[in-house]
Amino acid sequence: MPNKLTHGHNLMWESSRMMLPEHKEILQQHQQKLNLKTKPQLDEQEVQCLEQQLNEAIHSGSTVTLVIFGPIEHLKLTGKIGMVDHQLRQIKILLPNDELEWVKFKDIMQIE
Amino acid sequence: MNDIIFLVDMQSFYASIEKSANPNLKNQPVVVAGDPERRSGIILAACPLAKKYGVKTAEALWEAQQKCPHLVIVRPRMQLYIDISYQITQILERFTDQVEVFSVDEQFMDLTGCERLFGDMNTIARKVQEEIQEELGVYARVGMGPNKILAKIACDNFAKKNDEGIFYLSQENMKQTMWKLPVGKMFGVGSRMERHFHRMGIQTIGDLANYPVHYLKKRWGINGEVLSNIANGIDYSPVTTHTHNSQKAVGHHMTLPRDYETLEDIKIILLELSEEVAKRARSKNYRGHTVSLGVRGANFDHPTGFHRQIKLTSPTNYGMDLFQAALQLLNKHWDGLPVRSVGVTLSQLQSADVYQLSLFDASVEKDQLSQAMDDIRLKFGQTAIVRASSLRDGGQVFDRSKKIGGHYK
Repeated sequence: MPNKLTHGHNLMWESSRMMLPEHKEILQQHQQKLNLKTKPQLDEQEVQCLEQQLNEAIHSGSTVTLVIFGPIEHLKLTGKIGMVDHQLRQIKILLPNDELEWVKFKDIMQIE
Repeated sequence: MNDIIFLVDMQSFYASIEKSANPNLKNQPVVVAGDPERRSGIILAACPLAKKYGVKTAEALWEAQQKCPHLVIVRPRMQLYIDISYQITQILERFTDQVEVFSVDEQFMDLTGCERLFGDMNTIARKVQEEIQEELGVYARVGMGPNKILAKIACDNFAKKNDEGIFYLSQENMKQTMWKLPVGKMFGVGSRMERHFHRMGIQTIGDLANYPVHYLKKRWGINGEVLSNIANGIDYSPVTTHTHNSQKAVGHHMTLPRDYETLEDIKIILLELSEEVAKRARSKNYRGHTVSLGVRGANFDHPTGFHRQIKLTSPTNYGMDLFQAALQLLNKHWDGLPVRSVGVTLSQLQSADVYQLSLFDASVEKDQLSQAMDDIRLKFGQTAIVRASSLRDGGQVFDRSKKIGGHYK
Protein backbone atom coordinates (compact mmCIF):
# COMPACT_ATOMS: atom_id res chain seq x y z
CA MET A 1 0.00 0.00 0.00
CA PRO A 2 1.41 3.41 -0.89
CA ASN A 3 1.32 5.98 1.89
CA LYS A 4 1.81 9.74 2.02
CA LEU A 5 5.58 9.31 1.76
CA THR A 6 5.62 7.01 -1.26
CA HIS A 7 7.38 8.70 -4.16
CA GLY A 8 5.36 9.18 -7.31
CA HIS A 9 2.03 8.96 -5.50
CA ASN A 10 -0.28 11.83 -4.81
CA LEU A 11 -1.73 10.77 -1.45
CA MET A 12 -0.53 13.79 0.48
CA TRP A 13 -2.66 16.04 -1.71
CA GLU A 14 -5.52 13.69 -2.31
CA SER A 15 -6.13 13.22 1.39
CA SER A 16 -6.35 16.91 2.12
CA ARG A 17 -8.42 18.31 -0.69
CA MET A 18 -12.06 19.19 -0.90
CA MET A 19 -13.84 18.48 -4.14
CA LEU A 20 -17.56 18.47 -4.81
CA PRO A 21 -18.74 15.31 -6.56
CA GLU A 22 -20.40 17.41 -9.25
CA HIS A 23 -17.06 19.07 -9.98
CA LYS A 24 -15.24 15.74 -10.18
CA GLU A 25 -17.85 14.50 -12.61
CA ILE A 26 -17.15 17.35 -15.05
CA LEU A 27 -13.41 16.76 -14.85
CA GLN A 28 -13.79 13.05 -15.49
CA GLN A 29 -15.88 13.76 -18.58
CA HIS A 30 -13.26 16.25 -19.68
CA GLN A 31 -10.49 13.66 -19.34
CA GLN A 32 -12.51 11.22 -21.38
CA LYS A 33 -13.05 13.80 -24.10
CA LEU A 34 -9.31 14.41 -24.31
CA ASN A 35 -8.72 10.77 -25.08
CA LEU A 36 -11.37 10.39 -27.77
CA LYS A 37 -10.04 8.34 -30.64
CA THR A 38 -10.45 9.27 -34.25
CA LYS A 39 -11.27 6.59 -36.73
CA PRO A 40 -8.23 5.26 -38.54
CA GLN A 41 -8.21 5.59 -42.32
CA LEU A 42 -8.10 2.15 -43.87
CA ASP A 43 -6.16 1.85 -47.09
CA GLU A 44 -7.41 0.01 -50.14
CA GLN A 45 -5.69 -3.26 -49.47
CA GLU A 46 -6.99 -3.35 -45.96
CA VAL A 47 -10.53 -2.71 -47.11
CA GLN A 48 -10.12 -5.48 -49.67
CA CYS A 49 -8.83 -7.81 -47.03
CA LEU A 50 -11.79 -7.02 -44.78
CA GLU A 51 -14.20 -7.63 -47.64
CA GLN A 52 -12.62 -10.96 -48.36
CA GLN A 53 -12.78 -12.05 -44.74
CA LEU A 54 -16.38 -10.89 -44.49
CA ASN A 55 -17.29 -12.83 -47.61
CA GLU A 56 -15.65 -15.94 -46.29
CA ALA A 57 -17.43 -15.62 -42.98
CA ILE A 58 -20.83 -15.19 -44.64
CA HIS A 59 -20.39 -18.16 -46.91
CA SER A 60 -18.88 -20.52 -44.37
CA GLY A 61 -21.26 -19.37 -41.63
CA SER A 62 -18.46 -19.46 -39.14
CA THR A 63 -18.24 -17.48 -35.93
CA VAL A 64 -16.07 -14.39 -36.19
CA THR A 65 -14.90 -11.64 -33.88
CA LEU A 66 -15.31 -8.10 -35.15
CA VAL A 67 -13.52 -5.12 -33.74
CA ILE A 68 -15.81 -2.12 -34.03
CA PHE A 69 -14.71 1.46 -33.74
CA GLY A 70 -15.78 3.47 -30.71
CA PRO A 71 -14.55 6.94 -29.77
CA ILE A 72 -13.87 5.97 -26.16
CA GLU A 73 -13.30 2.26 -26.45
CA HIS A 74 -13.31 -0.17 -29.33
CA LEU A 75 -15.99 -2.81 -29.10
CA LYS A 76 -15.44 -6.50 -29.75
CA LEU A 77 -18.38 -8.52 -31.02
CA THR A 78 -18.31 -12.27 -31.50
CA GLY A 79 -21.02 -14.01 -33.50
CA LYS A 80 -22.23 -15.20 -36.85
CA ILE A 81 -22.95 -12.84 -39.69
CA GLY A 82 -26.63 -13.00 -40.49
CA MET A 83 -27.51 -10.56 -43.20
CA VAL A 84 -25.92 -7.88 -45.30
CA ASP A 85 -27.90 -4.75 -45.97
CA HIS A 86 -26.32 -2.99 -48.94
CA GLN A 87 -28.80 -0.15 -48.90
CA LEU A 88 -27.88 1.06 -45.42
CA ARG A 89 -24.37 -0.35 -45.69
CA GLN A 90 -24.58 -2.45 -42.58
CA ILE A 91 -24.46 -6.09 -41.50
CA LYS A 92 -26.42 -8.03 -38.96
CA ILE A 93 -24.47 -10.00 -36.36
CA LEU A 94 -26.13 -12.87 -34.53
CA LEU A 95 -24.67 -12.97 -31.07
CA PRO A 96 -24.39 -16.29 -29.24
CA ASN A 97 -27.08 -15.25 -26.74
CA ASP A 98 -29.69 -14.98 -29.55
CA GLU A 99 -29.51 -11.22 -29.67
CA LEU A 100 -28.62 -9.36 -32.79
CA GLU A 101 -26.72 -6.22 -33.52
CA TRP A 102 -26.49 -4.06 -36.62
CA VAL A 103 -23.01 -2.85 -37.51
CA LYS A 104 -22.10 -0.24 -40.12
CA PHE A 105 -19.50 -1.28 -42.69
CA LYS A 106 -17.49 1.83 -42.05
CA ASP A 107 -17.13 1.08 -38.35
CA ILE A 108 -15.54 -2.33 -38.82
CA MET A 109 -11.85 -2.18 -38.12
CA GLN A 110 -10.78 -5.78 -37.91
CA ILE A 111 -12.15 -9.28 -38.45
CA GLU A 112 -10.77 -12.45 -36.93
CA MET B 1 17.31 21.41 -14.00
CA ASN B 2 14.43 21.98 -11.61
CA ASP B 3 10.81 21.23 -12.39
CA ILE B 4 8.52 24.22 -12.61
CA ILE B 5 5.24 23.76 -10.76
CA PHE B 6 2.55 26.45 -10.44
CA LEU B 7 -0.30 26.66 -8.01
CA VAL B 8 -2.90 29.00 -9.44
CA ASP B 9 -5.33 30.33 -6.86
CA MET B 10 -8.37 32.53 -7.46
CA GLN B 11 -8.87 35.53 -5.20
CA SER B 12 -12.19 35.28 -3.31
CA PHE B 13 -13.46 33.07 -6.09
CA TYR B 14 -17.24 33.05 -5.57
CA ALA B 15 -17.37 36.75 -4.77
CA SER B 16 -15.20 37.66 -7.77
CA ILE B 17 -17.45 35.69 -10.10
CA GLU B 18 -20.55 37.42 -8.76
CA LYS B 19 -18.86 40.80 -9.14
CA SER B 20 -17.83 40.22 -12.71
CA ALA B 21 -21.28 38.83 -13.52
CA ASN B 22 -22.93 41.99 -12.17
CA PRO B 23 -20.96 45.20 -12.85
CA ASN B 24 -23.23 47.19 -10.49
CA LEU B 25 -21.46 45.49 -7.61
CA LYS B 26 -18.05 46.65 -8.73
CA ASN B 27 -17.31 49.16 -6.00
CA GLN B 28 -19.38 47.60 -3.28
CA PRO B 29 -18.41 45.22 -0.51
CA VAL B 30 -19.83 41.87 -1.61
CA VAL B 31 -20.11 38.57 0.20
CA VAL B 32 -21.49 35.26 -0.98
CA ALA B 33 -23.36 33.65 1.89
CA GLY B 34 -25.72 30.77 2.46
CA ASP B 35 -29.24 30.93 3.77
CA PRO B 36 -29.25 32.28 7.35
CA GLU B 37 -32.55 30.51 8.07
CA ARG B 38 -30.98 27.14 7.42
CA ARG B 39 -27.72 27.51 9.29
CA SER B 40 -25.70 27.53 6.12
CA GLY B 41 -25.75 31.28 6.73
CA ILE B 42 -22.02 31.72 6.82
CA ILE B 43 -19.72 33.76 4.63
CA LEU B 44 -18.48 31.51 1.81
CA ALA B 45 -16.46 34.24 0.14
CA ALA B 46 -15.88 37.91 0.74
CA CYS B 47 -14.48 40.32 -1.84
CA PRO B 48 -11.38 42.36 -0.95
CA LEU B 49 -13.53 45.45 -0.27
CA ALA B 50 -15.59 43.51 2.27
CA LYS B 51 -12.45 42.08 3.80
CA LYS B 52 -11.24 45.63 4.45
CA TYR B 53 -14.13 45.99 6.89
CA GLY B 54 -12.82 42.94 8.71
CA VAL B 55 -15.28 40.47 7.22
CA LYS B 56 -13.81 36.98 7.33
CA THR B 57 -14.62 33.80 5.45
CA ALA B 58 -16.66 31.26 7.46
CA GLU B 59 -17.99 33.69 10.03
CA ALA B 60 -21.74 34.05 10.55
CA LEU B 61 -23.62 36.42 8.32
CA TRP B 62 -24.86 38.58 11.18
CA GLU B 63 -21.32 39.06 12.45
CA ALA B 64 -20.27 40.32 9.04
CA GLN B 65 -23.29 42.64 8.85
CA GLN B 66 -22.34 44.18 12.16
CA LYS B 67 -18.90 45.03 10.84
CA CYS B 68 -20.21 46.37 7.57
CA PRO B 69 -23.91 47.38 7.57
CA HIS B 70 -24.11 48.14 3.82
CA LEU B 71 -22.73 44.76 2.88
CA VAL B 72 -24.18 43.31 -0.35
CA ILE B 73 -25.18 39.70 0.18
CA VAL B 74 -25.40 37.36 -2.77
CA ARG B 75 -26.77 33.82 -2.69
CA PRO B 76 -24.33 31.17 -3.85
CA ARG B 77 -24.71 29.60 -7.30
CA MET B 78 -22.64 26.47 -6.98
CA GLN B 79 -23.14 25.12 -10.48
CA LEU B 80 -21.90 28.39 -11.96
CA TYR B 81 -18.76 28.30 -9.81
CA ILE B 82 -18.01 24.74 -10.88
CA ASP B 83 -18.49 25.69 -14.53
CA ILE B 84 -16.16 28.68 -14.23
CA SER B 85 -13.59 26.57 -12.43
CA TYR B 86 -13.75 24.19 -15.36
CA GLN B 87 -13.28 27.08 -17.79
CA ILE B 88 -10.16 28.05 -15.85
CA THR B 89 -8.89 24.48 -16.17
CA GLN B 90 -9.32 24.83 -19.91
CA ILE B 91 -7.45 28.16 -19.95
CA LEU B 92 -4.58 26.56 -18.05
CA GLU B 93 -4.52 23.69 -20.49
CA ARG B 94 -3.49 26.15 -23.19
CA PHE B 95 -0.12 26.25 -21.46
CA THR B 96 0.32 22.62 -20.47
CA ASP B 97 -1.68 19.42 -20.51
CA GLN B 98 -0.48 18.71 -16.98
CA VAL B 99 -3.18 20.43 -14.94
CA GLU B 100 -4.38 19.00 -11.65
CA VAL B 101 -7.46 20.51 -10.07
CA PHE B 102 -6.91 20.69 -6.33
CA SER B 103 -10.13 22.42 -5.33
CA VAL B 104 -12.74 24.62 -6.91
CA ASP B 105 -10.39 27.63 -6.82
CA GLU B 106 -6.91 26.10 -6.83
CA GLN B 107 -5.19 24.20 -9.63
CA PHE B 108 -1.69 22.86 -10.08
CA MET B 109 0.20 23.10 -13.36
CA ASP B 110 3.43 21.39 -14.36
CA LEU B 111 5.29 23.69 -16.73
CA THR B 112 8.60 21.87 -16.80
CA GLY B 113 10.13 22.30 -20.22
CA CYS B 114 7.69 24.97 -21.40
CA GLU B 115 10.09 27.94 -21.13
CA ARG B 116 10.99 27.83 -24.80
CA LEU B 117 7.34 28.00 -25.78
CA PHE B 118 6.12 30.75 -23.49
CA GLY B 119 9.15 32.39 -21.90
CA ASP B 120 10.50 32.15 -18.37
CA MET B 121 8.24 31.29 -15.48
CA ASN B 122 7.47 34.86 -14.44
CA THR B 123 6.34 35.59 -17.97
CA ILE B 124 4.14 32.50 -18.02
CA ALA B 125 2.65 33.37 -14.63
CA ARG B 126 1.75 36.86 -15.84
CA LYS B 127 0.19 35.43 -19.00
CA VAL B 128 -1.88 33.02 -16.94
CA GLN B 129 -3.06 35.91 -14.77
CA GLU B 130 -3.86 38.06 -17.79
CA GLU B 131 -5.89 35.44 -19.61
CA ILE B 132 -7.97 34.55 -16.57
CA GLN B 133 -8.53 38.23 -15.77
CA GLU B 134 -9.49 39.08 -19.31
CA GLU B 135 -11.83 36.18 -19.94
CA LEU B 136 -13.48 35.70 -16.58
CA GLY B 137 -12.69 38.84 -14.60
CA VAL B 138 -11.12 36.92 -11.75
CA TYR B 139 -7.77 37.85 -10.23
CA ALA B 140 -5.45 34.84 -9.98
CA ARG B 141 -2.41 34.47 -7.78
CA VAL B 142 0.41 32.17 -8.82
CA GLY B 143 2.71 30.34 -6.45
CA MET B 144 5.73 28.81 -8.14
CA GLY B 145 8.21 26.23 -6.99
CA PRO B 146 10.23 23.18 -7.93
CA ASN B 147 7.51 20.96 -6.48
CA LYS B 148 3.89 21.12 -5.41
CA ILE B 149 4.40 21.88 -1.75
CA LEU B 150 6.69 24.85 -2.38
CA ALA B 151 4.29 26.15 -5.01
CA LYS B 152 1.43 25.86 -2.54
CA ILE B 153 3.32 27.60 0.28
CA ALA B 154 4.58 30.25 -2.15
CA CYS B 155 1.00 30.98 -3.09
CA ASP B 156 -0.60 30.87 0.37
CA ASN B 157 2.01 32.88 2.22
CA PHE B 158 3.67 35.14 -0.33
CA ALA B 159 1.89 35.50 -3.69
CA LYS B 160 -1.38 36.30 -1.92
CA LYS B 161 0.31 39.09 -0.01
CA ASN B 162 2.47 40.85 -2.58
CA ASP B 163 1.40 43.28 -5.30
CA GLU B 164 2.06 41.24 -8.41
CA GLY B 165 0.46 38.08 -7.01
CA ILE B 166 3.39 35.97 -8.10
CA PHE B 167 6.08 34.37 -5.98
CA TYR B 168 8.78 31.78 -6.54
CA LEU B 169 9.81 29.66 -3.57
CA SER B 170 12.80 27.37 -4.00
CA GLN B 171 15.13 25.29 -1.91
CA GLU B 172 17.52 28.28 -2.08
CA ASN B 173 15.30 31.10 -0.89
CA MET B 174 13.06 29.13 1.47
CA LYS B 175 15.45 29.52 4.41
CA GLN B 176 15.19 33.31 4.26
CA THR B 177 11.45 33.33 3.63
CA MET B 178 9.44 30.25 4.52
CA TRP B 179 11.49 29.24 7.55
CA LYS B 180 10.78 32.58 9.21
CA LEU B 181 7.03 31.94 9.19
CA PRO B 182 5.24 30.68 12.31
CA VAL B 183 4.69 26.95 12.17
CA GLY B 184 0.92 27.34 12.24
CA LYS B 185 1.04 28.90 8.76
CA MET B 186 2.37 25.71 7.23
CA PHE B 187 0.27 23.48 5.00
CA GLY B 188 -0.89 20.48 7.04
CA VAL B 189 -0.59 22.13 10.46
CA GLY B 190 -3.91 22.87 12.13
CA SER B 191 -4.54 24.51 15.46
CA ARG B 192 -4.14 21.28 17.41
CA MET B 193 -0.85 20.38 15.71
CA GLU B 194 0.35 23.94 16.25
CA ARG B 195 -0.25 23.60 19.99
CA HIS B 196 1.72 20.34 20.07
CA PHE B 197 4.61 21.98 18.25
CA HIS B 198 4.61 25.02 20.52
CA ARG B 199 4.84 22.72 23.52
CA MET B 200 7.87 21.09 21.92
CA GLY B 201 9.51 24.48 21.47
CA ILE B 202 8.89 24.61 17.73
CA GLN B 203 7.80 28.14 16.82
CA THR B 204 8.69 28.62 13.16
CA ILE B 205 8.67 26.40 10.10
CA GLY B 206 12.48 26.55 10.23
CA ASP B 207 12.44 25.11 13.78
CA LEU B 208 10.37 22.21 12.50
CA ALA B 209 12.65 21.68 9.51
CA ASN B 210 15.66 21.35 11.79
CA TYR B 211 13.93 19.22 14.41
CA PRO B 212 15.29 15.64 14.38
CA VAL B 213 12.90 13.73 12.18
CA HIS B 214 13.04 10.52 14.20
CA TYR B 215 11.37 12.21 17.19
CA LEU B 216 8.57 13.40 14.94
CA LYS B 217 8.27 9.95 13.42
CA LYS B 218 8.14 8.30 16.79
CA ARG B 219 5.31 10.52 17.91
CA TRP B 220 3.19 10.81 14.77
CA GLY B 221 4.37 8.05 12.49
CA ILE B 222 4.15 8.73 8.79
CA ASN B 223 2.48 12.07 9.34
CA GLY B 224 5.43 13.28 11.40
CA GLU B 225 7.81 12.59 8.57
CA VAL B 226 5.43 14.18 6.05
CA LEU B 227 5.37 17.40 8.10
CA SER B 228 9.15 17.40 8.42
CA ASN B 229 9.44 17.00 4.65
CA ILE B 230 7.03 19.85 4.06
CA ALA B 231 9.05 22.11 6.34
CA ASN B 232 12.14 21.22 4.30
CA GLY B 233 10.34 21.84 1.03
CA ILE B 234 10.48 18.19 0.00
CA ASP B 235 7.62 16.70 -2.00
CA TYR B 236 7.81 13.95 -4.59
CA SER B 237 4.19 13.88 -5.64
CA PRO B 238 3.57 14.44 -9.34
CA VAL B 239 1.02 16.72 -10.95
CA THR B 240 -1.47 14.17 -12.23
CA THR B 241 -4.46 14.75 -14.42
CA HIS B 242 -6.23 11.49 -13.63
CA THR B 243 -6.26 12.08 -9.89
CA HIS B 244 -10.06 12.30 -9.81
CA ASN B 245 -10.70 9.10 -11.68
CA SER B 246 -10.26 6.50 -9.00
CA GLN B 247 -12.70 6.59 -6.20
CA LYS B 248 -12.29 5.07 -2.78
CA ALA B 249 -15.61 5.86 -1.23
CA VAL B 250 -19.04 7.31 -1.87
CA GLY B 251 -20.35 9.45 0.93
CA HIS B 252 -22.95 12.01 1.78
CA HIS B 253 -23.00 14.38 4.66
CA MET B 254 -25.60 16.83 5.78
CA THR B 255 -25.75 19.67 8.27
CA LEU B 256 -29.33 19.70 9.46
CA PRO B 257 -31.46 22.85 9.35
CA ARG B 258 -32.22 22.43 13.06
CA ASP B 259 -30.97 20.09 15.77
CA TYR B 260 -32.62 16.71 15.54
CA GLU B 261 -33.39 15.23 18.92
CA THR B 262 -35.44 12.07 18.46
CA LEU B 263 -34.42 8.76 16.99
CA GLU B 264 -37.43 8.97 14.68
CA ASP B 265 -36.16 12.19 13.09
CA ILE B 266 -32.60 10.98 12.74
CA LYS B 267 -33.79 7.77 11.11
CA ILE B 268 -35.49 9.77 8.36
CA ILE B 269 -32.23 11.51 7.55
CA LEU B 270 -30.29 8.28 7.83
CA LEU B 271 -32.54 6.62 5.27
CA GLU B 272 -32.32 9.57 2.90
CA LEU B 273 -28.54 9.63 3.09
CA SER B 274 -28.36 5.85 2.64
CA GLU B 275 -30.56 6.02 -0.44
CA GLU B 276 -28.51 8.88 -1.84
CA VAL B 277 -25.22 7.09 -1.29
CA ALA B 278 -26.60 3.86 -2.76
CA LYS B 279 -27.91 5.74 -5.76
CA ARG B 280 -24.55 7.32 -6.45
CA ALA B 281 -22.72 4.04 -5.97
CA ARG B 282 -25.05 2.41 -8.49
CA SER B 283 -24.66 5.19 -11.01
CA LYS B 284 -20.90 4.67 -10.88
CA ASN B 285 -21.32 0.92 -10.97
CA TYR B 286 -19.84 0.23 -7.55
CA ARG B 287 -20.66 -2.00 -4.64
CA GLY B 288 -19.16 -1.29 -1.25
CA HIS B 289 -18.21 -3.52 1.62
CA THR B 290 -17.96 -1.08 4.51
CA VAL B 291 -20.49 1.41 5.80
CA SER B 292 -19.45 4.23 8.07
CA LEU B 293 -21.59 6.67 9.98
CA GLY B 294 -20.53 10.01 11.34
CA VAL B 295 -22.69 11.99 13.73
CA ARG B 296 -21.91 15.34 15.32
CA GLY B 297 -23.58 16.75 18.35
CA ALA B 298 -25.29 20.12 18.41
CA ASN B 299 -23.34 21.74 21.20
CA PHE B 300 -20.17 23.36 19.91
CA ASP B 301 -18.69 23.98 23.33
CA HIS B 302 -18.95 20.34 24.32
CA PRO B 303 -18.31 18.55 21.05
CA THR B 304 -19.95 15.16 21.03
CA GLY B 305 -20.50 12.60 18.33
CA PHE B 306 -18.74 9.68 16.75
CA HIS B 307 -17.49 8.23 13.50
CA ARG B 308 -17.71 4.45 13.32
CA GLN B 309 -17.75 1.85 10.62
CA ILE B 310 -19.03 -1.63 10.13
CA LYS B 311 -18.11 -4.30 7.60
CA LEU B 312 -21.02 -5.92 5.81
CA THR B 313 -21.24 -9.62 5.13
CA SER B 314 -21.38 -8.95 1.41
CA PRO B 315 -20.80 -5.87 -0.74
CA THR B 316 -23.92 -3.91 -1.58
CA ASN B 317 -25.30 -0.87 -3.33
CA TYR B 318 -28.83 -1.22 -2.05
CA GLY B 319 -30.13 1.68 0.06
CA MET B 320 -31.93 -0.40 2.66
CA ASP B 321 -28.80 -2.49 3.37
CA LEU B 322 -26.84 0.68 4.03
CA PHE B 323 -29.61 2.01 6.22
CA GLN B 324 -29.74 -1.17 8.34
CA ALA B 325 -25.99 -1.04 8.89
CA ALA B 326 -26.03 2.69 9.66
CA LEU B 327 -28.93 2.27 12.05
CA GLN B 328 -27.08 -0.48 13.86
CA LEU B 329 -24.15 1.90 14.32
CA LEU B 330 -26.45 4.69 15.46
CA ASN B 331 -28.17 2.52 18.05
CA LYS B 332 -24.85 1.38 19.41
CA HIS B 333 -22.94 4.65 19.54
CA TRP B 334 -25.38 7.53 19.74
CA ASP B 335 -25.46 9.16 23.18
CA GLY B 336 -28.98 10.52 22.77
CA LEU B 337 -27.92 14.18 22.62
CA PRO B 338 -29.25 16.48 19.88
CA VAL B 339 -27.58 16.04 16.52
CA ARG B 340 -26.34 18.75 14.19
CA SER B 341 -24.94 16.82 11.27
CA VAL B 342 -24.96 13.28 9.91
CA GLY B 343 -22.88 11.58 7.23
CA VAL B 344 -23.04 8.13 5.67
CA THR B 345 -20.16 6.71 3.62
CA LEU B 346 -19.80 3.51 1.63
CA SER B 347 -16.21 2.40 1.13
CA GLN B 348 -14.07 -0.58 0.09
CA LEU B 349 -15.60 -0.20 -3.31
CA GLN B 350 -15.49 -2.82 -6.00
CA SER B 351 -17.02 -3.13 -9.42
CA ALA B 352 -20.71 -4.02 -9.41
CA ASP B 353 -20.34 -6.22 -12.48
CA VAL B 354 -19.15 -9.25 -10.59
CA TYR B 355 -20.14 -10.11 -7.06
CA GLN B 356 -20.65 -13.03 -4.76
CA LEU B 357 -24.29 -14.09 -4.55
CA SER B 358 -25.58 -14.52 -1.06
CA LEU B 359 -27.56 -17.61 -0.15
CA PHE B 360 -29.89 -15.97 2.31
CA ASP B 361 -30.29 -12.62 0.70
CA ALA B 362 -32.58 -11.87 -2.20
CA SER B 363 -30.01 -9.79 -4.05
CA VAL B 364 -31.66 -10.15 -7.46
CA GLU B 365 -34.87 -8.66 -6.14
CA LYS B 366 -32.98 -5.77 -4.57
CA ASP B 367 -31.16 -5.11 -7.80
CA GLN B 368 -34.37 -5.01 -9.76
CA LEU B 369 -36.00 -2.72 -7.24
CA SER B 370 -33.05 -0.33 -7.27
CA GLN B 371 -32.96 -0.43 -11.05
CA ALA B 372 -36.64 0.44 -11.25
CA MET B 373 -36.22 3.39 -8.88
CA ASP B 374 -33.18 4.66 -10.79
CA ASP B 375 -35.09 4.46 -14.06
CA ILE B 376 -38.01 6.42 -12.65
CA ARG B 377 -35.68 9.08 -11.27
CA LEU B 378 -33.81 9.32 -14.53
CA LYS B 379 -37.01 9.91 -16.46
CA PHE B 380 -39.05 12.04 -14.06
CA GLY B 381 -36.46 13.74 -11.88
CA GLN B 382 -34.60 13.02 -8.66
CA THR B 383 -37.61 13.58 -6.41
CA ALA B 384 -40.09 11.63 -8.53
CA ILE B 385 -39.88 8.72 -6.13
CA VAL B 386 -38.89 9.08 -2.48
CA ARG B 387 -39.38 7.13 0.72
CA ALA B 388 -42.66 7.94 2.48
CA SER B 389 -40.75 8.90 5.61
CA SER B 390 -39.20 11.81 3.69
CA LEU B 391 -42.63 13.45 3.57
CA ARG B 392 -42.55 14.04 7.31
CA ASP B 393 -41.20 17.38 8.38
CA GLY B 394 -37.77 16.03 9.23
CA GLY B 395 -37.30 15.01 5.61
CA GLN B 396 -34.75 16.91 3.54
CA VAL B 397 -34.77 15.26 0.10
CA PHE B 398 -36.76 17.95 -1.66
CA ASP B 399 -34.55 20.69 -0.32
CA ARG B 400 -31.36 18.79 -1.05
CA SER B 401 -32.26 18.10 -4.64
CA LYS B 402 -31.94 21.84 -5.29
CA LYS B 403 -28.45 22.06 -3.86
CA ILE B 404 -24.83 21.32 -4.54
CA GLY B 405 -22.49 20.94 -1.59
CA GLY B 406 -25.21 22.19 0.76
CA HIS B 407 -25.79 25.45 -1.14
CA TYR B 408 -28.19 26.39 -3.88
CA LYS B 409 -27.23 25.46 -7.40
